[in-house]
Amino acid sequence: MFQDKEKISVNQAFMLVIAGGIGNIFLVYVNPAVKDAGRDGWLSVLIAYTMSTLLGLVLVNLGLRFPDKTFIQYLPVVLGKFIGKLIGLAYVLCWMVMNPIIIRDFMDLMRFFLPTTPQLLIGSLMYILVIYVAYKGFEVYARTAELFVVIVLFSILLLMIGISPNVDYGSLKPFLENGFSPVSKSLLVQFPFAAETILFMALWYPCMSQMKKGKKCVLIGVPIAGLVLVLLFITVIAFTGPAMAAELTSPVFYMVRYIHISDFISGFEALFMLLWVSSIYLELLVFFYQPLIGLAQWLNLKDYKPLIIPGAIINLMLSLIPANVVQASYLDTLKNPYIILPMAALIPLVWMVAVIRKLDESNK
Amino acid sequence: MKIKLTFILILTSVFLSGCWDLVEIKDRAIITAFGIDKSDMDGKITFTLQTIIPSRISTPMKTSPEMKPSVRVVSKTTDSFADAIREYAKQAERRTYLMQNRIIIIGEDMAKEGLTPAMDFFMRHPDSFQGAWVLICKGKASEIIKWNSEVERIPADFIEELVKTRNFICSSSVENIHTFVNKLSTKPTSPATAMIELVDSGNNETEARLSGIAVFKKDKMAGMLDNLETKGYTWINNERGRRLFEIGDIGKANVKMTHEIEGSRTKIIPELINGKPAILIKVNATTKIYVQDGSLDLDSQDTLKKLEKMLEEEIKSQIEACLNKALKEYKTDIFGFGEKIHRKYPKEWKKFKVKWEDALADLKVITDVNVKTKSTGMIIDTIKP
Repeated sequence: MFQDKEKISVNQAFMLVIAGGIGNIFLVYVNPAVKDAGRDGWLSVLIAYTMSTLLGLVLVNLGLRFPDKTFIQYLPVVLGKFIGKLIGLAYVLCWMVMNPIIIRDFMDLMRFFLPTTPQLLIGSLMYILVIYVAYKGFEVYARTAELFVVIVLFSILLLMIGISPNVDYGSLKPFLENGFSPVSKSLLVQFPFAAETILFMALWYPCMSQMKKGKKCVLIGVPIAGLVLVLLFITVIAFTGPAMAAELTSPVFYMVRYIHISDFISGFEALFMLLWVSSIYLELLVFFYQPLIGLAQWLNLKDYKPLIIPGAIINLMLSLIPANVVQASYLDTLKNPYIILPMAALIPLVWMVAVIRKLDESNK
Repeated sequence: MKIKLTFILILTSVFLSGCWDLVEIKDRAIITAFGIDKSDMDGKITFTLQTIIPSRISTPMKTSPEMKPSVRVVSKTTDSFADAIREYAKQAERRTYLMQNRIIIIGEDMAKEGLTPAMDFFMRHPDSFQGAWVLICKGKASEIIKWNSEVERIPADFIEELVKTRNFICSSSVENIHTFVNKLSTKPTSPATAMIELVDSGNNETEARLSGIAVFKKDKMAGMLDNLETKGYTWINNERGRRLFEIGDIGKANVKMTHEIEGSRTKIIPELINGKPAILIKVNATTKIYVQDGSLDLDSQDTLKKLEKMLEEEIKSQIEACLNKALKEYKTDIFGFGEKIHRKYPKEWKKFKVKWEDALADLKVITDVNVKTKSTGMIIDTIKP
């Protein structure tokens, strides 16, 4: 099985939590948050990541009860064979939806830079990388994450500093103008974004060399990701104001292009490219492993590697389904409350069943 | 191993060059200024594009008797923005490139029609740079775009410098695409940006200069501010640059003196007085004496105090002139007062916002100006004969 061969260190696990938490979410979360909650969207992001941290703690407790099984593997143990297998399949299918959406986001935004290059080619090139890394194994991904997460965090920070002369933090006032209900409505979209990293962790957690330290990774990693996104949201709103941010296809990209420091430091698009492609790489693999490993374990296969190429081809083909960018971004927000939210809600449920049934395999 | 490495390097050079979207620099028509006018023909728009001729830019400046202009100016009358770019590309056999465009000049007629379509184009186009300055011109924009500068090889560069040096002399206040659209999208606020005009400078030469400010109501131009009101606007809008400041009579007859404003800071504080909105404008400025004609005794503290008072009165009157014009005559909120009240008093704002534009004329605005004269320059009093 996948977790017998491969081990990841505490530091790598920590970076994986951040990778899942920021991923390419920083490119897509601003629009739905502004549309739902206006200028108070940062609050819903903050609450979402706090909830996600709690969810992570629940998962760590659950994972410690089954130290050598992944989420898909202990579902039948906890919920009974039939229901467990059924829900496991639902998980695998749900995860399969994610990857096409991410690669579609990538191809759509790439249209600005390479308007005549075929979109499928751009997607395919990205997938060649993904397939290569997937064949090399999960350890390789964990090691690249260690490097790329630092690049992503550093670049986001640099962009926020670069734009700081042009921002007006007054745009964030008035606070909670329309009461709390828009913020809670926005949580339906924002919490699933935050929960993605925990759902991912459900699969790699047994690979950790020191599983006890998983709690620490969650407690530090998720808040870091959340804090960066909150700060980024505040910067975007302070720069554009809520009405403008709601209409921009990519507020972060718009912001990056505007940065001109003392007339000679400009052209931050290159930095954005670096940040963006590495974040897409992180996010693509987050959601490439899940369905593959999940499916392999659901079918009790010895190895997930034969599934890599068929999986990649299916993902690429599925990504071509949305007719245009409006539909694609609509799907992007639609998947959150209807697909990820139920999946995330199931983790505490499974945990409760496990506690009530006093299931614990850690002493074996 | 080496063969593998070579193979990978060759492969990356194939994939990384982006061959589909490669546009050589010589195939690009780099637009430096963009003019938009309302055409005489019904419903059509005239576009004037100023593009660089690369071969004339690259050669170093030579003192040749016949200096050819380094830019090419083309006017097209079309239905829409997309048509303009296409028509231009047809003629130029080059791909137009908007990223270097720093100046957008809009004719007065066009501005009065509304700028939403223009702003939509500049926001939507992937090439366009949102830091480009928006200027409104009296008369036709095409004339300013066609105008050739004596100083700069690219006239658009001259205009850009003009806009930038306003920070040192603070003669006006200019918005770029981003700030313009930002103000449009903030509901009660309307934008206002500088106007540009060509003036005769003698010797059969004309020069471009900023004069006055175009005031908008939503996206339509409502009118303009004259020089005095423009000065008032730069105070309210917190332009921090240096500027010269003349005052006439100071108690005595015909004292001519000029101050230099070294730094200023304006705060707009919204208040509620008896449930009604009011605005407090607080200006803090430090000045330096620039020149005086010798009839004042600058050694005494009293004179300096008196001078400060005079300056304060002068600044106040400029601000009031600007407020009167914008709030009472044009009834537009170019200062963002409404948004300031919205931010501080969100509950009360819900009542005010319905009739905000009508309420502007009766809005109570208190100006509080505080001037400190810090320095008298290299000498204290005039060295008298």
